Amino acid sequence: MTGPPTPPATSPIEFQDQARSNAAEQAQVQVQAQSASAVPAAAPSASSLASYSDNRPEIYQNAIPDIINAIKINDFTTLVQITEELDFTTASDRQPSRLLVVAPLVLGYLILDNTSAAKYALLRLSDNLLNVGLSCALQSLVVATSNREHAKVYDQANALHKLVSQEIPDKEFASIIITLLSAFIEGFRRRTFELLSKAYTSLPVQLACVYLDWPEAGVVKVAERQGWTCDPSTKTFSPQLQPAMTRQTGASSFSSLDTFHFVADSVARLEV
Amino acid sequence: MATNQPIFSDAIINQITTAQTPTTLQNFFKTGVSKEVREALLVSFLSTGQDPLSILDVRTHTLGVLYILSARVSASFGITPPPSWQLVQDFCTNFDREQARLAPERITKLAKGIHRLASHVGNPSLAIPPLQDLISHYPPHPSYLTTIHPIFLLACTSTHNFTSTLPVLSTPITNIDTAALSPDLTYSDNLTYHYLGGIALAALKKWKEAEEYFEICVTSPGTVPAALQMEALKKLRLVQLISCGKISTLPKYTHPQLLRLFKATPYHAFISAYPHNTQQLNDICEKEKITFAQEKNIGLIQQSLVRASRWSLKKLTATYVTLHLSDIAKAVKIDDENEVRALLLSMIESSDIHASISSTGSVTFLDPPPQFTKSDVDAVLQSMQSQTDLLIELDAEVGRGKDFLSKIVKSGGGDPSATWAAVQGEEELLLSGVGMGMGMLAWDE
Repeated sequence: MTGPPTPPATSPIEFQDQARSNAAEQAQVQVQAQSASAVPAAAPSASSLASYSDNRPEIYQNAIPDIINAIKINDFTTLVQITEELDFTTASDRQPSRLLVVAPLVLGYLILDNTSAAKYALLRLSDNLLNVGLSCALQSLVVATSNREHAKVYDQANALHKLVSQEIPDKEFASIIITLLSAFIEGFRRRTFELLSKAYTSLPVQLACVYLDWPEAGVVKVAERQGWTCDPSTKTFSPQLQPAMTRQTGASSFSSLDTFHFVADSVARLEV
Repeated sequence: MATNQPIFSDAIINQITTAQTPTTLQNFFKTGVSKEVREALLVSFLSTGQDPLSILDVRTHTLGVLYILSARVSASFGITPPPSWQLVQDFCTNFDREQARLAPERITKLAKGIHRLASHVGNPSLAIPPLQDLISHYPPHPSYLTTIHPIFLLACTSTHNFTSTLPVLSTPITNIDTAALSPDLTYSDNLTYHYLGGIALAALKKWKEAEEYFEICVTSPGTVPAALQMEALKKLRLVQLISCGKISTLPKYTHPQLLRLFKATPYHAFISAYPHNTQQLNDICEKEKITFAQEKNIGLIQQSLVRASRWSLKKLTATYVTLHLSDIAKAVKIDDENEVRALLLSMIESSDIHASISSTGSVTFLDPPPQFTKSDVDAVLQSMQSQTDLLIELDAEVGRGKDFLSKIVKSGGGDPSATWAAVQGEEELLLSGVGMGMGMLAWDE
């Protein structure tokens, strides 16, 4: 038994509805049809990086303003939400334009220090996209961050910065990636600084420079601003645990009236 | 009926739009149309050629749309055009849950069909947002397990979208309604949900939560242990090694045959050698790597191997107050002092140990500093009280059950006063909060 075929759209409104509801699938099919012969073999090349800027499907184009807004207000949780929702729709896209979503998503996760999620965002890429230069650079950054190889993190970040600045002609996209990269490095340095404050009683200046990827003068300046003391004769820091990093063990801000209610309720329950 | 005679859904649509109440409509679908013809009618178009889904309102006609949509996503797509994703998403976001609960089996059919349709269009990830909306809107509370849960988790885990599972997994399952909400829920749905939940959490390195989910799967009562429970047990043990460096005892209600069967696996030998006998661990990995790979546990095995030195280092904190980096390197069998330094930093960052390193390379192990405030204590007490209330409620519910009452009467030897005294005694223990069950059953936040 068969039903009748779907009637073709006959009015402009029906055409628009049909196009809107199948936007993701049609974009994928159209892009594949146009550039099927130009899809590179699994080898990274500058031309593959350039190709996704030439023909940005509408679905990515529409998301860029929201992504830029989220980055402007440093709301990386929203950035991750926007890019993840888009990632659901474009998961089967084999075109390099998919990186317009995945790269900000990965960097967003790294900024939020969620390296596992960043890793899986990259793993969801199709095999041809995994070998593109940008993907390889992101993978190296994710691995170094996950393993807390501090010196490598900065090296990989610099390499990614160079790749994006020099090899991606889409200036808007490059700007997004560079801004996210800066935010990531800033957050990574801050977390590393807090860890060093917690873990070290005395720390050689040279080692601090490696951990923070700053020249000696810069490290000394920042460290002293954060309350670390520096002994120039032995060239060591004495880190200070920051007040924000310590849990308050003294008087809490818990309201005394709330405490009264809580105690009264608890006693009443015992007597039930 | 002639094979080529077209079928139209005009009658069905007429019923949907004119039914007095959703219950009337549900009765029509159940009894007014024969099962053989029903699906064919539901996937067909109107006599005008119009798609009936384009004229029905998702919220007002939820039940009708549910029947049609679930039929369309389950039909053969070569013959029947699938509905648009926009419509599927619109339904899952805006449906009326009271109407939908009149046809729970159609909800299951819809969920399965969504997953199937997403695979058909070549993008299984597409199923995740509508399934997530279904899970959040259909049950009365997130603590209810439904047939949608395992389907959703399968969609997420098979596409590596593990973070999407977190909002659902964050609420533990404490309610099952097989009377009205999910009459087609099966035992294996519970196992599958908790097994996949454990996998998603382990992938995100949320070890404690993964351990809980795997344990629920392993310890779910059954006459015979399920194969899925054995797989969950293997993963549970590996997650425990990664998280704490050792395994913990399973609850007494775990099926004993599971543990007996587990002892015969190479995982048991791996656990016995963990973490200090590195040579033996490597030998086992080499010998059993095909088995570990086939069972998709090679990643967990490798992670546990990487973390073995961490637990060897932690053992030193029980004996020493201060050690040099070089001494630690010898004890944990790592040659490079920088590697030991990195390991220490990693352990301090994750609060596995509390220590401080000096510029001379000397490491001092510290007692964990007090990390709680008065408000933390009050919050824990409040949480304990609400858990106790929940436990009392669950216990009262079980106590009202026919099976429980008949067992109590039998075990009391037919003496009602002895029976009721035993039940009352248990209630007093619970109310006073004296029972050690309080601590054991409090959920981690």
